[in-house]
Amino acid sequence: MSEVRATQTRGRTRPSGIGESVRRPDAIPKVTGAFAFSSDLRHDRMLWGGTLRSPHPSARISSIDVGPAVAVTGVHAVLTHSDVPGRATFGLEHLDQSVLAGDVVRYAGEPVAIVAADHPDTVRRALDAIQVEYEVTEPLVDPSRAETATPIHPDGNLIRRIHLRHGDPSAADREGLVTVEGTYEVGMQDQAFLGPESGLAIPAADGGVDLFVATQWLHVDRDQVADCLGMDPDLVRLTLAGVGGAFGAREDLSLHVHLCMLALHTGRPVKMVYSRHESFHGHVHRHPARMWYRHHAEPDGTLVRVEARLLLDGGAYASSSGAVIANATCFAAGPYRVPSADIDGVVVRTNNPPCGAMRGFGAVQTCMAHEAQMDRLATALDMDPIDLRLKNALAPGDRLLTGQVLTGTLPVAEVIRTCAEHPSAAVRSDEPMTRPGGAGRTADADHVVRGEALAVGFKNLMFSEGFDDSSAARCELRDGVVTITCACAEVGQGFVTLIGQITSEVLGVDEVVLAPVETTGIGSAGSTSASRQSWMSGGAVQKACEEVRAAVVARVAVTHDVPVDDLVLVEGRVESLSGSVSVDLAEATAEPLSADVVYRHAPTSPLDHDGQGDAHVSFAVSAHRAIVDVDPDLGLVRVVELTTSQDVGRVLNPVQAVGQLEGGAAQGVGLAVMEEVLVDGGRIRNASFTDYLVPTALDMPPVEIAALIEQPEPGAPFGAKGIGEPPCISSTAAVVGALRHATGLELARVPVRPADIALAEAQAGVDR
Amino acid sequence: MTMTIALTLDDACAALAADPTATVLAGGTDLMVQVNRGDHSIGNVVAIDRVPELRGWTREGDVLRIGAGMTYADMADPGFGALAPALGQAARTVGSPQIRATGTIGGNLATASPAGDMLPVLVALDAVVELRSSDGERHLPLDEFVVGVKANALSAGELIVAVRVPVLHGHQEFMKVGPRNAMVISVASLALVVDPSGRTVRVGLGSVAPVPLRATEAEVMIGGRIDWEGGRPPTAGDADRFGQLVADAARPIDDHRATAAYRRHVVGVMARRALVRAFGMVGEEAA
Amino acid sequence: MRTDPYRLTVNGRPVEVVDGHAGESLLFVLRERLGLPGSKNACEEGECGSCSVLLDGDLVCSCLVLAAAAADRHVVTVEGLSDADGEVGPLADVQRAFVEAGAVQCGFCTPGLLMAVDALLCEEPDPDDLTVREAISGNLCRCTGYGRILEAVDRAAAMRREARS
Repeated sequence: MSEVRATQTRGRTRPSGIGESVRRPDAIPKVTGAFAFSSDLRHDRMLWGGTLRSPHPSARISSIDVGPAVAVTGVHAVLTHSDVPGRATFGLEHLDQSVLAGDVVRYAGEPVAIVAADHPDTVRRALDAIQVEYEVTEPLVDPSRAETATPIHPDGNLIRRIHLRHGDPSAADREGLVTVEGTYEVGMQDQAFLGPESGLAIPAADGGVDLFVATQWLHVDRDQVADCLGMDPDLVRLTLAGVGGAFGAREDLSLHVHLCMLALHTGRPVKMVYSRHESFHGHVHRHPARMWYRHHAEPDGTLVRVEARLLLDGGAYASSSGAVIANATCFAAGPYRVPSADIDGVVVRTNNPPCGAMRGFGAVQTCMAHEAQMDRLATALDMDPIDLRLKNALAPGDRLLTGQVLTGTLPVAEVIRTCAEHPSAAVRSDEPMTRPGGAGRTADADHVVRGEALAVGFKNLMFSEGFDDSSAARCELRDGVVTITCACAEVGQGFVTLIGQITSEVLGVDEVVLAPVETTGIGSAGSTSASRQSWMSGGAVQKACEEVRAAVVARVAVTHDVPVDDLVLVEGRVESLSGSVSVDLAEATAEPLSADVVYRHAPTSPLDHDGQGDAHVSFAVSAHRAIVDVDPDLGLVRVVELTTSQDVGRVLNPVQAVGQLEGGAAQGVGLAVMEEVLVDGGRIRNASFTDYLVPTALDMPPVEIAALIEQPEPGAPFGAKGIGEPPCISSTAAVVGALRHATGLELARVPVRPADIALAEAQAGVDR
Repeated sequence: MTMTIALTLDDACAALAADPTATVLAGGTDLMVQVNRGDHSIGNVVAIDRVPELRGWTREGDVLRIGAGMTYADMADPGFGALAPALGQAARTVGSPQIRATGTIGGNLATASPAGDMLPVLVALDAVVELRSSDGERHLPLDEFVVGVKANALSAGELIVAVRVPVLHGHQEFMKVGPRNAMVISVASLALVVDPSGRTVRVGLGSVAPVPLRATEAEVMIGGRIDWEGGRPPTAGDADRFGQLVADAARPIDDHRATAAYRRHVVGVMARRALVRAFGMVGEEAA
Repeated sequence: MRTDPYRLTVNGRPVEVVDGHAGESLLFVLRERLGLPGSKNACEEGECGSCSVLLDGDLVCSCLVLAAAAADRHVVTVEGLSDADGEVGPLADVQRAFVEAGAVQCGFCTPGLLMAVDALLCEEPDPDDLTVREAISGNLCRCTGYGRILEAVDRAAAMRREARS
């Protein structure tokens, strides 16, 4: 078989409208195993590709000898930096990362050479045979030293600083205020998507290349690849292959240029699949953060001023660090009225693994800190922590830390109340397997204490700071059949379902064809990230469908001599409200109609020198209440229940919404108690699922949805807000808050490790 | 590459005699991880997962003879669990249902990982490992079989056929600490088995030394304190002291999974709790 | 190094592998030699369950099975759960349940989970929540948080009860 099996999201779906739990159109291929993920692609003549990576976090490359690798039987190509045809570097914000390292490596795992061969075993032997001479240098691994250390990159070690100053700087310079201070740390989380980085590149007759790859942002990938190949973008054609999860890790390039280089060099299709170990080294991670905070409040709990210093470790290359620190800084104080603030947000370069986008994008880190601060403040004020939050809750009309006035919806108080007031279903089970420690049988009932806490968080939806974001879509209607073309990357979130719901809503059809997602013939849909696709690509699809609707109606109005306003599209027909006309849509569209649109949101502004500006389009808030059981002497934890309320604007698809809220909460639980990429001297110590632990079904509690608050967002298609990120923002903070409640310990760092609880308890026992 | 799928023990031994360097393969749950990574190159293989003599268990008087090919899933059998409760408990903590379906006790022995879940129980039970080659048989006590980190005393051409443990008619506990509620490599583990007729309490420790350890001083101390005749429970003071001695017996290291300090601490906690489960306690509340 | 040819029965059909390499896992052979990419390769070290198949009726990680050592055994993969040939044809009850419950997001964990759930319900037709969680504790999902998956198991169990009565 010489065909490439492309993604199965192409297909017919039988949707219904907005607000219904319509089934995903790709569910059946996914449950039968027929759905083609990027690692499932095959081509008869294909070769296998592989990557040689630097073992050192910091070194100069003295020499690379590929001769012994080329000599291995079955090897078709061994390429290095000198084989990169076009621009040597790439990057999302700065073009600071080499396609293949030439003279220096800056992180352990940085690609140095690539191989194409006839079998994965041959690839491995060839990689082992490549001789690289490194002159190891001392790595910069402490982010707090980065700004003063010798630059490890020509662009310097400071990736971005934002110093946000808001309101009256002397607001806290008076008597009678209560002040609390704390320093917090968030470890490096990994997206840990299940589908490994993978793809297939096929050299084309026109000298170009067709790349089938799992990604989040096709057109930005295409542009970077074309630059690095020294080619016209039209010659680089990306098609989205099935994506096995993303969560931010596929926004940057990984194997894209490498695969294309190997395919073009060998003249053969080339497939590459990262192992899990390689995957941990092959994509960016969530920025680890150290955060110092000081909150000042009136004795009645009114917040007066927040000061903070945020230090994010960006690792070796910039990726999207600039945007991450902006988010962390803008949302540093949480969804509360803060009339005065001084937030210094810095992201630096080190020889640690590169960090970039991960679901929550800076707000996860600061939420952990600001919620810990709010609880600290509540204790200092002898005030109920929920009352303290309600007292300061932001509401429309309030001004944010950036000076921007909230003109859209933001039901902070409603989210808090509904979550706090939702009855708990948590019981105390007699079953030993349900206690902390699970099958390890370490705890009896009287070894376990229970804790509870609530946390709230918010962040922006969509891109910010004046970024000209857009999404393109095409709607074609012929013989009653609608085809939608949109390059929005489906990564599991369910946009493919939404397309059908929108067309059903607007055009009254019960069937829609989804064109393959590719760069050819359609413009960018932007990134599947920042909780933006329902708004942007949903908006584009809606707009395109509405233009087609208008054209159909105009046509029938003329042919049947009725006013345009009298006509509606419903259930595959064009009908007049007055009842005189009823035309089969297929008949009316025997002559095809189409519309090509580009959707944009209202423009935003950059942040000025003081971090002030109308930089964001929209915001969403969520709250979680966590109930945890702890075995303090062993430090083992079981999350018993999570309850959540979220500000969603409008529920587009209830079952998919629940799926996002439950899944995001699981990632929040993971960061709270078990997930951390352990980096020692710049090297990852736990690049496997054996030791990078994500929650199993025995670790995740049920997630109770207290309320999906629907206050339609002005300007948003269908009034709907993106829902992907908030679930992993306040969940971590709630779980660690509950652990503090159970143990009485400060727990200033996540993930909380068993030793953090057990040894502190032991010390406290000794001290007693 | 020759694949020998042995159907009898003699076949397996003969194949190994013909190529003593051949890889012995039962469940493959340790070996295949290395093969998939490219860290182990497969040559000739002798697959022993279809040898009936290696499956199952038999009771010979007060000795339980466990076939090396017995899987962790097999150990869920209540009849087996009644004879070796701590082994049954330990088996349930290994990996996942998928791993338990094919992983074997023989594999756990051969891999000889410091974190092997069977090993603390086997060392507490003074297990004896039965080895066979075409040259004959030998029996090794566990502490002469597991000789170092991932090091065993197998000679070339030799196979683990069974492990023998005593049937003790007292309480048995197995506990394992890991940072997740399922599918974890043990950070520290403890087996406590009571031998009422021998009037001993035996404690096996895992993941706190290069090899599974006995906490001998703790055993001696508590053995002398237990009221074997009258059944009066130990005191809180006894339990504390016992826990401390067990903790002192541990020789843990710092690694990416946990610190030595944490490992030592939790071993002491588990010891105390296991003792209280076995005997109850008088004095202050069990903590 | 190559293996001698060996046979397997996969989803009820006999197959022969004639050009295997030593060291190839059953997962690799299924995906790359037998045209059955339904079983997935999320970790290839037995830590995620995405490669789960039935081997002579036991739920195992196919990445940890040396393919040549499984000669003459019976393998059932996700492709063998139903008579569905691609997108058409009747789905197995567990497959229908996952679709209806919204338990599929990216879908990478789905095949392995379907095998685990099918194996569970054959063993234990009416499992409680804890039993289900333990049975699927070897299958990682990164998208769903397991909520809709547990719902799907309930639905599948109900479907089987219905079919039996």
